[in-house]
Amino acid sequence: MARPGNLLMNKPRVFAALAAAVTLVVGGCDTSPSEDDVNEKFHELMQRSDIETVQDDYLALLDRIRTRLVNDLGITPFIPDKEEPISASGCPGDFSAVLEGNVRRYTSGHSPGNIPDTEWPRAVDLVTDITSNHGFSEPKTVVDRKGDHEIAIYDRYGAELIFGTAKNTILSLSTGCHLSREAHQRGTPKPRTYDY
Amino acid sequence: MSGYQTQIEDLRGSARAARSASEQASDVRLASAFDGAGAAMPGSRSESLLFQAGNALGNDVAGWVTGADAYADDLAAAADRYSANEDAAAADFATQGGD
Amino acid sequence: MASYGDVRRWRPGPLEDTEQALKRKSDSLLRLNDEFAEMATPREWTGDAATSARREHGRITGRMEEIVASVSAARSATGDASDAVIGLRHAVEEAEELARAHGFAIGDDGAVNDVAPPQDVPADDVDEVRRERERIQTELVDRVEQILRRATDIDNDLADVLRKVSNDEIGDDGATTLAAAAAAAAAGAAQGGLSVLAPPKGGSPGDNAGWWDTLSKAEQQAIIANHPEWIGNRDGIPFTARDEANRARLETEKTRLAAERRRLQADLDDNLFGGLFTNADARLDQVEEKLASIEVIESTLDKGNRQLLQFDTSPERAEAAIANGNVDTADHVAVFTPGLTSNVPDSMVDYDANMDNLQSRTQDELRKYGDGGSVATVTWIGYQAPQLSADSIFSDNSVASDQAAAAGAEKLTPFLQGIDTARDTDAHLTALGHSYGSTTTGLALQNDTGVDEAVFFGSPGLGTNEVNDIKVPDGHATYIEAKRDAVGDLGYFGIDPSHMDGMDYATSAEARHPGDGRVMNEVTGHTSYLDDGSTSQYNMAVITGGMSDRVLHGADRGIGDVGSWPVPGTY
Repeated sequence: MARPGNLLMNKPRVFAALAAAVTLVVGGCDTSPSEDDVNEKFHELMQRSDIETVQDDYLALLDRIRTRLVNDLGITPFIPDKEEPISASGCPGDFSAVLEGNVRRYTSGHSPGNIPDTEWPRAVDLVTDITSNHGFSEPKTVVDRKGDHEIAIYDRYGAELIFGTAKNTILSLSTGCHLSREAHQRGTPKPRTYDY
Repeated sequence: MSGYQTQIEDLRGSARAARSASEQASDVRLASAFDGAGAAMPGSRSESLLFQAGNALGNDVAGWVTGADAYADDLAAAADRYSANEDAAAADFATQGGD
Repeated sequence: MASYGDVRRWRPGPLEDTEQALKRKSDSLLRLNDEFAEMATPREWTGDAATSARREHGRITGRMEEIVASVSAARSATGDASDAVIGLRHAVEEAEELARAHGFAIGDDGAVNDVAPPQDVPADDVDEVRRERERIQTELVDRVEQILRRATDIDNDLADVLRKVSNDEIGDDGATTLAAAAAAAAAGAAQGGLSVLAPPKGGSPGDNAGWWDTLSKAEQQAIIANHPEWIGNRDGIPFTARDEANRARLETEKTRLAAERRRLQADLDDNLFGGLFTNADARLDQVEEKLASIEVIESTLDKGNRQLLQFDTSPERAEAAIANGNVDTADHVAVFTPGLTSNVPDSMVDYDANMDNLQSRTQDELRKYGDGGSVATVTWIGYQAPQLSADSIFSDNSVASDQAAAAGAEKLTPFLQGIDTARDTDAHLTALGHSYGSTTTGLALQNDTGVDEAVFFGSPGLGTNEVNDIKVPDGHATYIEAKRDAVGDLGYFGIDPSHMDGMDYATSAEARHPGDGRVMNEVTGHTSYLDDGSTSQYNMAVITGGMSDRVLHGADRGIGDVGSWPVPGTY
């Protein structure tokens, strides 16, 4: 087994500077965000509802969909996971500079069993009928084959609702990036505490 | 009859209390608390030391009982002596005076 | 010293019986209190006989206090030993069960013997099975070692107290009346308490797990409360306990660093030349970075359902690992090691969000197609990843040197090993390595770690030219490279993984799934592999969920990969 140190020795040291240069060109992973950048992103997020407000809305939406699927389509009631039904994180990507940004992900656990192919279009209609009243767009077909279907529906903030059926039926939703209620009420980014 | 009857009775009371404590203590068989304890840790140094500690504590109490009995005997003997000898009582309980 | 065969027969019952009996007997002695008050000599009594009797009374009272203190010491010691033996038995049972499950037996002399090697192992799996059994055997040897260390410690502590009891060396701590017998009892009990065994120095994950398992629940809780620094970063300890300990350390470190910051700031303010001659300004920067790290860690933990698996402020930059989910119990665990420029304050939020997305995607896949197993994902910034500052590019910590990766691998290896070791049942474990972090991961996986799947992406090399050096089951090392990712073409720390024989390739391009027809998004460049909804993220999700049959295969070679083709004979 060759240790990389040995591999390295076969190469001219000048490569080191080159590697660093290439990496600089392609961009690193993260660098400290500028204050302007944070302000701009924060301002953009101020135009959206705070995370608690959208959460109330999304949870009610999911609840309505589950109830209708069980009542109208007769699917088996959803069984929650053992784990927490809500997970949360900061915002990935562009909004990660805003420390008070939040994304939350809601799972419904699963409804055991498959929605038959013949019933699937009705299930999709039922779901989109409800989501369209909550600012979601037309469904995008993710999977559509015998015994296995899935749609994704998005809202303007990048929330994604996934509804699918194969071995089991699933319904989950992840939000876009939203400020915490406290940050939203404050209206400005929390100043950076530390300078390094 | 001695004029120091109350004091002498107090002495006898102390002797009785010592006797009672001694009797109760001798019923507390400390060594038996360690019966079978060594089986908890076969092969250990503690195995035999558990037995030794039980014995030692048993002996400690036995020694104490002997001491308490001797104390009770001494008090009782003193009380008898004061009952029989008014002068001795007068000397040792002088500060209280007689009846 | 007791042999393993002896220790296997240790049981708490008889010690517990002794403790209970001593409690009853001690209570009986303490009930003599009334008699002791009454047996004092009458106050009016004077003279030689009275003086002598008083001295005698003092002696027997004092003696009883000593006896009560001794009984309390013995009681406390046997009670503690009984609890400790419960922990020890638990550790023995864990070791025996682990041995049994893998065809080993532990002899009375403590030797770990191979008694039932698996039969009819398919030729493809021989290496993996051998590796896994070697790992288990090493762990068993470590566990037996810790069981004996702990047994000796319990024995020594108990023997010490018992010897003092036998030799009348337990003090009553100056109690002078039997009314103070309760105090004497407390003094004795304090002298009878057994010590808490410190963790093994430089212990392997197996040593650490073995040590922890020998402790009673009460002892474990006491360690979390009083010595969180013993276990916070100790691989092999259950992550729930590490999390609890690290959260406590977060508070104390914050206080300590804030004080240091004030002091350094005051030094700078007082100094006419600032930090020019004292380096105080550089030190202040480091302290600020660590405080900023703590702030980011706290805000991440506040999101809920997190575990702080690792937290260290002693290196130049703070290190931390945070899990989404419960690493002790999740069926599937993925550990992500990021690369160049990653550090806690600037990278944790983003990567943690990526890992939360990955966890959600994997769980959706498992709910829909699989067994609904649970998933935990870990962001591991547990090493000094190279940074892009002028002075770091030319230092040992430079991205152009493998030193930081090698040092990182030395920490990542036991961290990964500690996952299966700390758990009751092995996790389906995936190591994800990006960029320079793939070099770190590649080096770590050249050891037996228990990792079942490796996914490298955007890699400048895995620290080897041979996929066989990566110790995961055959066919379970996967490489993903995006178009226009120049780092992925460097082939710097070993050949470009795009050209490694035996490597499995998963795509990052826009792709329609041949099975279910779904279309996923392409990523390009070096930094987008974990984007939500991307092909590369999907591939990581199905691998993490143990559904590698759903991986979208394909190598997305760009022009850079033509130039990075290794010339035979030159590597």
